[in-house]
Amino acid sequence: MYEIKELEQQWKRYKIKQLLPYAIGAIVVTILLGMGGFWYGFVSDTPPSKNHQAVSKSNQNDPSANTLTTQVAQKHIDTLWSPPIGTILSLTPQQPLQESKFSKKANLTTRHNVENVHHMQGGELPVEPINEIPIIQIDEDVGVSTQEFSTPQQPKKKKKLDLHIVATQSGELLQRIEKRFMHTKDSADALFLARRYYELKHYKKAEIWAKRANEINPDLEESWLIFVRSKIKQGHIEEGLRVLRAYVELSGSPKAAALLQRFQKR
Amino acid sequence: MKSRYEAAKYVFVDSIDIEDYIDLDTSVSAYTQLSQSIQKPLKMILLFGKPGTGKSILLNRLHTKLKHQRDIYYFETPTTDEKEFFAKLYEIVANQKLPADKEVNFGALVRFCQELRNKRDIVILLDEAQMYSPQIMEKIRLLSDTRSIKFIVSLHKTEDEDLIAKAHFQSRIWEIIELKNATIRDLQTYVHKKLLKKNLFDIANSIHPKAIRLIYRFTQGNFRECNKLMFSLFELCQYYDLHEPSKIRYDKIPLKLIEMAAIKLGYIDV
Repeated sequence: MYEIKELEQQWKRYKIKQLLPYAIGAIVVTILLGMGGFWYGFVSDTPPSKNHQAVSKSNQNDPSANTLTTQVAQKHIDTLWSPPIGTILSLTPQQPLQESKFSKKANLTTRHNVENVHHMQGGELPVEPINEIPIIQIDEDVGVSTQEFSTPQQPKKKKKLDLHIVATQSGELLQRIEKRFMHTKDSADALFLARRYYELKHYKKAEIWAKRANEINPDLEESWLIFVRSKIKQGHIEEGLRVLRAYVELSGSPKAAALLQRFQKR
Repeated sequence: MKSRYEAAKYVFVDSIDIEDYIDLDTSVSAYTQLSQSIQKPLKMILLFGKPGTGKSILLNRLHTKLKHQRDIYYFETPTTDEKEFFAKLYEIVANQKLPADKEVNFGALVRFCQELRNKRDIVILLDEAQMYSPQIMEKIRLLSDTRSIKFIVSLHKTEDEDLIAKAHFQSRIWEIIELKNATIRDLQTYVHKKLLKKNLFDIANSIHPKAIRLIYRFTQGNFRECNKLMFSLFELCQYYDLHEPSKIRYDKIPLKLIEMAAIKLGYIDV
């Protein structure tokens, strides 16, 4: 009869060998789960990103820099930049006002505007703070504000940053473009500003910038149409239609013709 | 004091006795096929399979069942001596013993077998035919051509099967029956029936399906290996029953003991 005790010892060794891979597997799985949980917790609790910090730093350095919250937009934008009338006229010796073929025909546009400009010379152009239209809206969940940029904050737990660009840039940004225009005399900038002000329902400013765009580049159809629309929106319907008719006669633009027809029907 | 497991141990002593034959699905199917093949006008029937698949016991059963109905003879132990082999063959064919100082003239034997055609239908069951020399196998082929003697040759299935591959044998082997290892279901039936045959009902009930699966894992359904393992298992059970009864359960054979038996037989390399 063989040794039972020795056989039992061999059996124990066999069982240990058999269960060892499972034990190792269980330990590995536990470690992986632990690491996964640690990583998940670590990633979800990370501080604000470097981009935000860079933005906050740049914002801190540039006092006129725009912050990115509605609250900031409301707080800091109290005036829209508009150059004093004197400034406009002082620029003209280098670049006199160009009377385009259209403005000659219309006969009213430029002078009327100059008169208006002169009348308003005494003061600045009316200011309409943009407080009802947010500049760049960030989800409140993110909750990033100017004050928060300056100091390290407890990051919120939501991972996703959802940016909704709802409307135009802030008044300060438009001011920057207007300042830039003074140097570049770029019709694209003027047209951009005319379009933007028209969308903001600042029809007076839209008219002025559309006119400036026309003066630099009389072939810009859009600036003419913005000009006409702005006029009509301000209640100067006959004048607007007169300009539009002249433009249609000279350019033959179907778009302008359609617009004229639409206005005439009304 | 005797242990209940002693009788169970001897149930699984490896033998080819007909009393130990168990009807299983696979063995019944092989037996049926073999008995039907004998009826056909075949020269040679090849029965092959791995060692321990039940070839010998099948031939023995066939011989036992048909010996009163047919001219059937079972050469259980292979003969390496050609003289001795043909002397036995002469006794069968001539129905008389060869004189001691005489040798069989093979040519005359062949002619005699040719004359026996349609008069006698002799079936010779040759077990462990791989042990016969090629010369004997050649003469067996010639005798099968007489059509008065039908040979059922049992062989181990080996890698080197050149004996079967030889052209002159291939043309003569009209039927090939292969025996394979038992399925897990067959093995369970085999173990239970073996114990029930000896009225060991309690022990048969104590071997649960999980134990059978473990036994199958170690033996792969080979009957011979199963017999060895079961013998060792009940030997261990006998020991614990007599000396450490707390370590044994009568309602369920512990898997530990099966594994210990496997270690003892070398199925598990510790």
